[in-house]
Amino acid sequence: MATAFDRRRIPAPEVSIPPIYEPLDEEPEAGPSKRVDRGNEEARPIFLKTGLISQANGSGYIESGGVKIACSVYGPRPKAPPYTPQGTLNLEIKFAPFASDPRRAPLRDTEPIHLSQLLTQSLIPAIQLEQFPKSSIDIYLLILESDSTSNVISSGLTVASSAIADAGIPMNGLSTGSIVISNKNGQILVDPEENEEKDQSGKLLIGVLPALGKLTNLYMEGELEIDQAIQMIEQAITASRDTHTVLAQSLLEGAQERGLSGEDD
Amino acid sequence: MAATKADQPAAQAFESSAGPSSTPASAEVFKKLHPSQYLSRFLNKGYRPDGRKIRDWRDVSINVGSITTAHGSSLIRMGDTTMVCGIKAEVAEPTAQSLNEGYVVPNIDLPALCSPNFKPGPPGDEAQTYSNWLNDLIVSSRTLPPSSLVISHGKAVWVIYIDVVCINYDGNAFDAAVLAVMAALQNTRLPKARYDEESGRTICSRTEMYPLQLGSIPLSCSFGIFDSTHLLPDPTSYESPLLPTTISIALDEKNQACLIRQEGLGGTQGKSGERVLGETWSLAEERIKELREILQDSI
Repeated sequence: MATAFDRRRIPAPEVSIPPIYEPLDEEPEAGPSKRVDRGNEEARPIFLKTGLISQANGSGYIESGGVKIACSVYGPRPKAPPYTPQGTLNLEIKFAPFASDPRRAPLRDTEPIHLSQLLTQSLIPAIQLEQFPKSSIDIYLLILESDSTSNVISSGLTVASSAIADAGIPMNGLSTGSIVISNKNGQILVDPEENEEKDQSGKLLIGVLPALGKLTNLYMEGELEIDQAIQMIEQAITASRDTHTVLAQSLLEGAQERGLSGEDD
Repeated sequence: MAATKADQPAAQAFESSAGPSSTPASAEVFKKLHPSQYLSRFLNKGYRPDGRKIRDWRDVSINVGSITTAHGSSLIRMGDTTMVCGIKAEVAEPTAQSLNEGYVVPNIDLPALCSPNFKPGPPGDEAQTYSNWLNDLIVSSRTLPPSSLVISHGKAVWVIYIDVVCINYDGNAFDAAVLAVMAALQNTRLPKARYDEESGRTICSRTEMYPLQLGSIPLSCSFGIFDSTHLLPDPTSYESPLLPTTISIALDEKNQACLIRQEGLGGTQGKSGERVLGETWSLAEERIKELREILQDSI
């Protein structure tokens, strides 16, 4: 049962379980969505700020719903051989151990690899990698707080785009993400909360370059009618456009705070 | 990214120097190629490259409780160095040797995100060293006595996971981490738990929460010695590699030492190692008094 002993960290007991709470008196019933503070087609507000990590070439921080992510970009910097005609994009997602419920023990956490893959796929079309032979661009995302995985991906994509742009790396466009679900009552909900996601019949996750009108990534799961799927894609694209506006605005503010000059870099 | 504050003393340092020229572009090159001389010119003028006076500390801000997935959390900034500490409690069986003791598991992570000098992967040497110091500090000063973490004797105890993650590494990570941990511990609320003999499970209340029973709260102050002449409090990531000697002092509420550590040759020109250590101690006392006030205000 004991896995390889981790010598690099302060030892913890082999087995520990998250607190088990008393049962709730009444289970919240599933039914038509009762969003009070926003409409079904509205995403939750986003807080996005660039340039907070002074050590990095570019950085961003996002808060959206129950998600808080810091992202930093290093590069383009020299890459070890072999020679590559194009720049290499390295992306790593890391969850802080306290970022979710239950705690994520280091080494036992397997989710980030699949998330990193998804994000890399969405970002490659956005970056002009052909301009950086023999170089690597390293993007690191640190999740400080999370609710649902899909929110982590869509917010992660947005914050990564902001950090790459903040680093002054040439891009084809800003890549933003959004999630749409349809629930058992046939409602289409943009940017679902965790409890709404439990009640889903289908989920759609997309990466978009809104400025170019192009899709970079699409991931759909569940059982959906074709018409419904198309409607969901359209709604998701609309939502990504809104995110794009926020993203562009925060980049502009970030540049203005630094006096709109690249001289001091 | 040069701070705007630093530009003024930088200009002053170069005007009087016999440097090749005094344009800002060459200052940037000089900074990279001759870091030691660059620092020394500032110090001779009584300033540090980030614009503070030689003996000044950086500004500190503390924010607690912003991470809802943790039982307690804090975000602290010390100059540009930023640390987040999150505390999560889990339930485990005590070990056979100590039936009446819980576990405290502190770890510091310096991820690749926070500095260009770190690589992704498991914790590096620096992070491991800091984790060990932090563990020593918490154990020796009885900040969180393991005996206060018992739910049911011999059956169930709390495991307190203290995880510190650096977001921006601009030197003096240990002081920042200690401060973050102490703020987060004071912010932590655990649910009231009871052990159910029949099912062998521990059940926690959803409504009743209580704070941790904390012992003494030590805080740390670190220094570096440059060129055997200048004692520099709170070194930045630019200065740290140029300081062969580093000193850390952690003091509790009664100004008693909980951890003293000197690495490298002690003393400066004309002063013995003991005198310098005494000097750092009194500087630390002053600083820690300020830090305690900031810590108190943040809660």
